[in-house]
Amino acid sequence: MSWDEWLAATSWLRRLDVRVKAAWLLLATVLAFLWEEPVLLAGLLAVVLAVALSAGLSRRFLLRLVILLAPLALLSLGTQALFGEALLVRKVGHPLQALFFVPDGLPWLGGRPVWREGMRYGLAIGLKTMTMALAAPLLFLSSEMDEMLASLSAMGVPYRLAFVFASAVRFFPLLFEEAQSIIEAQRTRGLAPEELGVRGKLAFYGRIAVPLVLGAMLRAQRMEVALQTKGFPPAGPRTALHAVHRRRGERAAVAAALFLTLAAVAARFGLGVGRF
Amino acid sequence: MIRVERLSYLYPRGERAALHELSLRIEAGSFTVITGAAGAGKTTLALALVGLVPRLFGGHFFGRVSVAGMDTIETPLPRLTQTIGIVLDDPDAQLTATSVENEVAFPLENRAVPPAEMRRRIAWALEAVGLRGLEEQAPHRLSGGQKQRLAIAAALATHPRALVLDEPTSQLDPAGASALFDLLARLNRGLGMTIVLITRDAERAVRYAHRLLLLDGGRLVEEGTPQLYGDGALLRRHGLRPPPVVRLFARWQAQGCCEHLPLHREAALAALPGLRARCGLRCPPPTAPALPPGRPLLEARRLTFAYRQGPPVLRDLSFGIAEGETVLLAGANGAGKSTLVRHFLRLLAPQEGTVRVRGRPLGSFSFRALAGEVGYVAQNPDTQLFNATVEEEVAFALRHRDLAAETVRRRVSSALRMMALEPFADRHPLALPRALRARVVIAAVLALEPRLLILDEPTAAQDEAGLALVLALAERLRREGRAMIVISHHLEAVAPAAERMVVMAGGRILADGPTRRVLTDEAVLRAASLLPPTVVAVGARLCPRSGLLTVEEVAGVLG
Repeated sequence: MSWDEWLAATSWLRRLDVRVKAAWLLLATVLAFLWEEPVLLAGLLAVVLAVALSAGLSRRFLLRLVILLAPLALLSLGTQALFGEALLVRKVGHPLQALFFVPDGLPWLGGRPVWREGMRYGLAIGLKTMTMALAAPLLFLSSEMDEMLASLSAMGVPYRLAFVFASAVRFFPLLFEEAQSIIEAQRTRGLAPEELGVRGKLAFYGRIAVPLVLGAMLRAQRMEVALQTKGFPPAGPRTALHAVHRRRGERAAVAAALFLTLAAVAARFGLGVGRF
Repeated sequence: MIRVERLSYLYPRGERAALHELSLRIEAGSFTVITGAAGAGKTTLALALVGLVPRLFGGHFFGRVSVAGMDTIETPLPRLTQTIGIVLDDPDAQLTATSVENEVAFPLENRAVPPAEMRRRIAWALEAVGLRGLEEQAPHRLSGGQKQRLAIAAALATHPRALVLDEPTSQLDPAGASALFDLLARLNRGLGMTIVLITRDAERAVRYAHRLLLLDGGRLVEEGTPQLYGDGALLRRHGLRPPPVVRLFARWQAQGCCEHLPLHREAALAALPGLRARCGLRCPPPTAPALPPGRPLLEARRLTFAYRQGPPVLRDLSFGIAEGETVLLAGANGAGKSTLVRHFLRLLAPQEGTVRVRGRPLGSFSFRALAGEVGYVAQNPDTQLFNATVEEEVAFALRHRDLAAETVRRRVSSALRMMALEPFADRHPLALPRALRARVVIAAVLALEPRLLILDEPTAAQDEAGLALVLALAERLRREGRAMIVISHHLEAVAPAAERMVVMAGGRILADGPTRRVLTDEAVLRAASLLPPTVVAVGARLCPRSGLLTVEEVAGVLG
């Protein structure tokens, strides 16, 4: 992720009001959280991906996110398929169906059944994680800090709190850039993660922490100095250069997202829609 | 305007006072330069003038600071910073908004300025700093000089009566720095704004200053007119290197060729006709070209590269370096220097063109193998330090290379010696001053014994001794048949160590040749938004064909 990725999106999503994007992000997150049925979750993920691509987020960026999350998804798949028996029996209310057995010769796992329901549930967890992780950047990478601030303030969020939130969002890509430069410094000393074994990789990423945390602390301290000299936090009410006006269509979009969120909650707990 | 009375300050957990019994007065409408060596207390004083010390950092504060009659501790910060603004050294650290217009608006919004008045002030402030028309631009897309001018505009918009600037040109190229000084002079002369400029390198600033204050060890040790900057002995006594133009004219003064010491470029050039008349001129013949270089080490052919959605940063550029060469790579901010070098390290892949190291395509090297061929020291040492002691830091990459323990010991000890780091071998790298931290990173890369060493702005944090150590590397590597590329804005410091100079602008190479020829070609340098160092410019005016670079060489042509 880079500043270019964040700000250069001159797409339809970029022009939408922050509150509309936040409401639809809420819906996607609630659905991903509530649903446990892999088919529904796969459909939701497909919608999120389609929105991301049509909004102009690069395939490379999305692929990187997927690659980053893939080990987590595989881990959940393996764990649930092999060890999720107790939880899954409670969930489905009947004995589980073994798809096949791990060959006997394999240490630790030999002879253990691989549960069909476990595979499905593990897949569902993986899809949930990916959906939530892909949906959030759609808001943050398409909304400038000033916009977020103005919208949050217009929603009645105290300015100071809104500023802390918006600054944290802005800090994230900066931190990512800093991590990249530390990784590059290690590469130039002959240590590239792709050329290391698993233990080497773990140690490699562990080493990034020291300069990264130090850099973040320094940056935070400098930012505090800059903010104080600019009269932040304000002593009293503040003015805004640009007022936020919401168009009628956008009001309807927020209302629709909130209605669908409530409906999804009701459908899940009332009718069991999305249950495993 | 500003009164500091017996100010002493100790940072929390500080071992000694950063400021000690310091008293001074700065008159309204004056332009004051405050200088001193690293650790003299300059930044702490700047922060105290605007009330951030001790407010933000805590610590022990004694004495009193007042601005326009307001006590900096008792006055609420929003009110105080309406009277006195501050601009810090790192422009990126000061920018908080995502458009130029919003950046200038932010302090006004916090002070509840009505929108109509805000628009008027934003337009005025951006006009004053020359950024009108860039209102919608994202600050991170501006050049270093533009960012610093934006930070000034944000401070100006609140209509302060005084402006404190702490090392505002430290990250700017010479043209950007000159433009910034001109702006400060306009604010001072045109608007009567009080300017307090804090800098370690005051040569360019004294031209505009009314007063000069010299700090050392947290104390005010001298104050007076800018002529103080011509007192080489005084500067040396307080850890500062006299500027080359002063050292040059002091030599001529001792020979009776001149009476007054010019402190800056314009005064030095204006004094030349008189000098020629008094002492006569003996221009040496041009120095013979250096020996032909050794075998090619790195060759880049027809490189073209653009970052995503941006214009080309490198345009059909070819460059090569051979064994035994030292190249000074110069250019304004954004010329493409760092992008070029990143291609040599496999950090970027060329979109067009090729890079070869000792005849092999760069892509065929693993990072591990490449680190033994091309070593790189980035500008910021803090992203490159992650071990608990200096010795471990230097040995770190070697321990991942299956080398015998004895070889690792030998290489570490040699690298520590080269960078004079032996006394600090057991210290934590991040606990050292910045100059030493930078040398630790150089030592860590030297231990890998790369055939080509690339240093990005290695002089920035170094004192005189550190600079000498870094530049002595060039001679050592040359003897060993290795090569070095130094990227730097500090042409004066690096040029004598590099026999070849490459000037970049707009992603292309504008000039490539012997340093003596390129650095004295004012037309090329100006086209690249660079300026020849003052001593070189003086030498070129006196003896245009001689290619004089150093104080000693230029001094020798008179008398």
